[in-house]
Amino acid sequence: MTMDDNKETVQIHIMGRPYEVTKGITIQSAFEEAGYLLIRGSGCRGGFCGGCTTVYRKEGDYKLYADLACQKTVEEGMHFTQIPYTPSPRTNYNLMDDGMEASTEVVIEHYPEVMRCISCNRCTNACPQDLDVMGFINDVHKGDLKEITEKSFDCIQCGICALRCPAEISPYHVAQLARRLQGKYGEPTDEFMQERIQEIKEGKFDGGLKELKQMPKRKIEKRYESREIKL
Amino acid sequence: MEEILYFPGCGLKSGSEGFETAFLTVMNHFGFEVKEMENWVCCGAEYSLSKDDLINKVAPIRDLLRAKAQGAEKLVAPCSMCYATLKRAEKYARTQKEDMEKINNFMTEEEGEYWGGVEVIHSSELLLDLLKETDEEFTKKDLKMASYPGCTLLRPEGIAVPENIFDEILEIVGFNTVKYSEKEKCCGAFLTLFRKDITKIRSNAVISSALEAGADAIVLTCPLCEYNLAEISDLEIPIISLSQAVGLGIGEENLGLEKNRSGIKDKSLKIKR
Repeated sequence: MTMDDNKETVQIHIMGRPYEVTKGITIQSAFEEAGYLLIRGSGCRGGFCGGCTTVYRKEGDYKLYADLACQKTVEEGMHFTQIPYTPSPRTNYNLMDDGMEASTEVVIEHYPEVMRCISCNRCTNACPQDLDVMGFINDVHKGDLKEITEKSFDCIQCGICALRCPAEISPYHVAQLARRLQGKYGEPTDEFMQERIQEIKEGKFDGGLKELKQMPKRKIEKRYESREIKL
Repeated sequence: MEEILYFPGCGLKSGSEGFETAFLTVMNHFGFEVKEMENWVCCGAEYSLSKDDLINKVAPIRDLLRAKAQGAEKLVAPCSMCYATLKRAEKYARTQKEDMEKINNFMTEEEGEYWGGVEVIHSSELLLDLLKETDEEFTKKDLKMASYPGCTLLRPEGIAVPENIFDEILEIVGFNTVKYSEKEKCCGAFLTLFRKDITKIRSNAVISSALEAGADAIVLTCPLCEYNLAEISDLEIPIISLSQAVGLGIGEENLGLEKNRSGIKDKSLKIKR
C-alpha cells in the first residue's frame, strides 16, 4: 500500500481552483463540500434526471470526459466544471401537426445531421446509461423507429452524447422525437383509454371532483385510507 | 443449406426495400441461408468521397470487424455503394498498416482489431457463381434488359466487378440485353442534393438512351441510381434490381417489385398509371 491509498482526501480542481475533498464522494458532493451552492446543473441526485452533466479531465490524460456529477466519484487530480445544461439544439415541433407520423423520415427532416454519423462510437462510449447510442442513430438510417425507441428507452437526456459527437448530432433529442412519434403514431391505441377519455369529456367525473375540492383534508385522507381496492 | 452473412445497407432498408426482398428470395432459391449481419452501422458511403481518408474509414472498418467477430470470412453486399465502400476499406486495412493503428484505436469497444480477413463480395459476383454451378435451365423471355451497373461497381480497378457481369447474369436467366450508349455514364449521383437540374439532364439521358435501344427495363443495384432515374427524371421506365431481374428469370414470386420507386405494377413490369 502506498501513502496515497491511506489518504482520506483527494485533491481536485473545481473550475480552475484546487480543493482537498473527502475521498470516495461524488463530484456533486465535492462541489458542496468545497462550498459551492448548486442552483443549476443539479437535479434528482439519484442518476435519473440527467440534469448534472459535468465535464472533466484527469491529470496526465489527454482525454476529455463527461459524466453525471451525482454518480461519478472524485479521483485524485480531476479537473472539472459544471455546466448548467447541455447547449444543444432541439427543434420545435408539434406532434399533432400534419406530416407527423411513425417514420424516421420525420426524424431526418428535423435532424438532418444524423446522416453525418461516422460511426466513431464516442456517444456509446460516453453514455452514463450504457445505451447503444451509435446503434440507435444508425437505426434512423435503417428506418427502424421501433428499434430506436427500444434502444433509447432508458435515456435520461443528460446530453453527454451530444457533447462528444464530432458530427454535431444530438442523439438524445433525435431519440426523444423518435420515441414520441412511435408512442403517438406507431403503437396501438388502448380502447379502454379512449373510453375513459370520452367519459371524462362527457363530464362523468365532474361531480366527484367538485365534491373532493370542497372536502376538508382530513376527510379526504380518511376516505383514501378506507378505499376499496378491486383486483 | 449454406449460410452466408450479408450487409444490407440503409438503401435496402428504407427506400429500396424490394431490392432486399428479391435478394433474399433469390439466395434462398439457390440454397443459401442469408443472414443479416448483426449490429451493422453505416457502410460509410456518405463520407468516403471526402478528402480526409482516415476518419471516413472508421465506419466500414467497424463493420468488417463486427462481421469478422460474427465468424464471417465473406460478407456479401447487394448494394453497390456499400460494396464499393466496404471493399475499399478492406483493401486499405490490408495495406495501410500505419493508418490502421490509428483506426483500430477507435475500436476499443469491439472484439479485437481489424487487419483484414473478410472478403467483401458484391451480390452480382455471388449470383454469377451460383448460376454457373446450377443445373437448372431457364426459359427464354421476350423482355429486353438494359443493365446499368453504375460508377461504384465499375471503378476503380481492383475494386470494380467484371464489366459485363450484369449482362452475363441476365442472359443466363433468359433475358435479352441491349447495348446503349449511356450504359456506363453517370446518373447524376449526389448532385441530386444540390443540383437537381444536372441530375435531371443525366437521368433523362440514361433512360432515353435505354428506351431507344428498345429496353423494357433498367437493371441496377444502386439505390441512388434508382432514386435519380425514378424520381428525378421526367421519363418513365421500369427500374429493377439485379436480384429482382434474376428472380423474374428463375420464376420466383416474392420479389418486392411493388415497392420500387418506378411504380411497377407486377411481374409484367408494367408501370402503374
